[in-house]
Amino acid sequence: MARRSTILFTTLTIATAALFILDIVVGSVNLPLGKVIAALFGGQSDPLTRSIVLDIRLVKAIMALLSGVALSLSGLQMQTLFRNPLAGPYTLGVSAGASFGVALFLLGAPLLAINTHAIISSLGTAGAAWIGAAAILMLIIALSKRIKDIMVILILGMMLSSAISAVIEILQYLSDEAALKSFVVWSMGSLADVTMSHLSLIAPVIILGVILAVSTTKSLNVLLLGEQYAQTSGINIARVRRIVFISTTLLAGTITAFCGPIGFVGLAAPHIARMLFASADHRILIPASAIIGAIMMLCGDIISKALMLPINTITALMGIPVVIYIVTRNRNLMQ
Amino acid sequence: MITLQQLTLGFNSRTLLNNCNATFEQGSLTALVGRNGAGKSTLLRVLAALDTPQAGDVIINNTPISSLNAEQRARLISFVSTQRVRVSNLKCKDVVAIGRTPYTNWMGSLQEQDKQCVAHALEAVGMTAFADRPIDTLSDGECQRIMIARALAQQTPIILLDEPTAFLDIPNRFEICRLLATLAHTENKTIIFSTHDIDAAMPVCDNVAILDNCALNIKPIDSAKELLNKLFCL
Repeated sequence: MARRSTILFTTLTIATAALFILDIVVGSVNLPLGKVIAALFGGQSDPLTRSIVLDIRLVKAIMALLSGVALSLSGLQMQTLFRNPLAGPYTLGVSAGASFGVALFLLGAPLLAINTHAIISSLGTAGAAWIGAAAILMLIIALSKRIKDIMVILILGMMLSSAISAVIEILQYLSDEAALKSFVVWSMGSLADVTMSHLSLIAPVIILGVILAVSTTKSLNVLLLGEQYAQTSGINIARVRRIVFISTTLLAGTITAFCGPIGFVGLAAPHIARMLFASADHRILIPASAIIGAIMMLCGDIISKALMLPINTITALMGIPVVIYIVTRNRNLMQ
Repeated sequence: MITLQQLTLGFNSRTLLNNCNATFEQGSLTALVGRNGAGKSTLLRVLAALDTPQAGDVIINNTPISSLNAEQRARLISFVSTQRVRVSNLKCKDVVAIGRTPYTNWMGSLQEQDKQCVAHALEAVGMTAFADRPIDTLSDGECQRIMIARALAQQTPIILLDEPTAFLDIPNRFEICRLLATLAHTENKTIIFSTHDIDAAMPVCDNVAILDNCALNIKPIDSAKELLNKLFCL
């Protein structure tokens, strides 16, 4: 590996670790650093501090880390597979699909009087999000086989998102106050509602999604040249498409299920990785996007805690400048 | 050696090639010519197994290509498409290294032998000095050479090129055709390229394959003049 990459990876890893600690230190209750570290590493600390640090802040910081990794890797895979620099779970409507699944579940389950036990509710939310995300992805894959114009695919993704939001609004109109409140809170995007027991479901799924993403490294590199080159280089396109499909559904779907729709991290992190590392090689881009995604989410969480704002407004403000830069600079969009 | 066996091509109700039997010899450069829409690209796509024929088969060294999987085919046939590759941050040597795909491990790591192969391919097309340049900073002619180098790095006995001279200026058209002839003759490769560039292709090709009226006529260059005149109303 080139020296530049080694230095960058080292710096970014240290930054991630520092932000991770900072994310645990910052919060609505003011705790000194010493106490936080004592609680983290099992030193002397009172039960309240330990509970705040371990049950709330640590879980939240881990969730920020996981969601950054998951969203950026799903964005990277989609950008390469669709050969579309503006592809991402949010822009192509995958997050919206997941939201729709969650909306049906959160707003529909009380209507059908389904038992909302904590475990059933979290499994149901995740499952509904996966199905919603998978449905939209399948639609986008089918469309992109026929339509080669990447702008058309993007516009269709946006239209899908808008259509889904409209249907969700109808659902909201029909549902009762309690269900509505839980859905509205969810849709603002938050890392705070995740508990340790959620994490034990989320972490393995995200790890599986990451393993699948890593397994497509070589194919994604060949796909940079387009499908014709990939096929004649011996890549089984149908298989790669399937793996990317499953990986993206698991990564973007799971995060959307538990944290709400978080925009622009999946789109921006891979581009920041490409610019920083000056590389198009997925052997570098996969770990680089994951780290940068994690940094974006940790920063987002710290800022959202400090300013008491929902996290998806922060990620939008961080990501949109990157999108504007891509749109104005990218030759593929100017053809 | 490529043999077409009772090959029928077309889409929907339109036939482009009807029950064709023909052979492309090893170590020869063949220009595939024909009017717009005659089916040159379709024939190349079928030879590269990107499309399936309506009937018949393509036989390479006694093996039908339909019986091979993608990776086996990738060791026999490489393809240079008309699609222009403009990926930012992608270095020329990395593009050429993609030609090594059928031989590398799951991560695509290059062994010493692969690196030598990439260097050799770059040298063969005269682009060694461009190895570390990003591909999106190259001119069309330079870019086409890199794509040919990528095909060379794939180390296949057969190379197919769809209109490799299409976007090029006149000197580049002649140079690319000469380069293809050199590769066919010095590296004993079967090279077939579609073109409208009769002037650049004729002086260097061994054969001309004329696709007209649902038939494919492969002729040595010397005896093809008359047919070409007729085809292009010269």
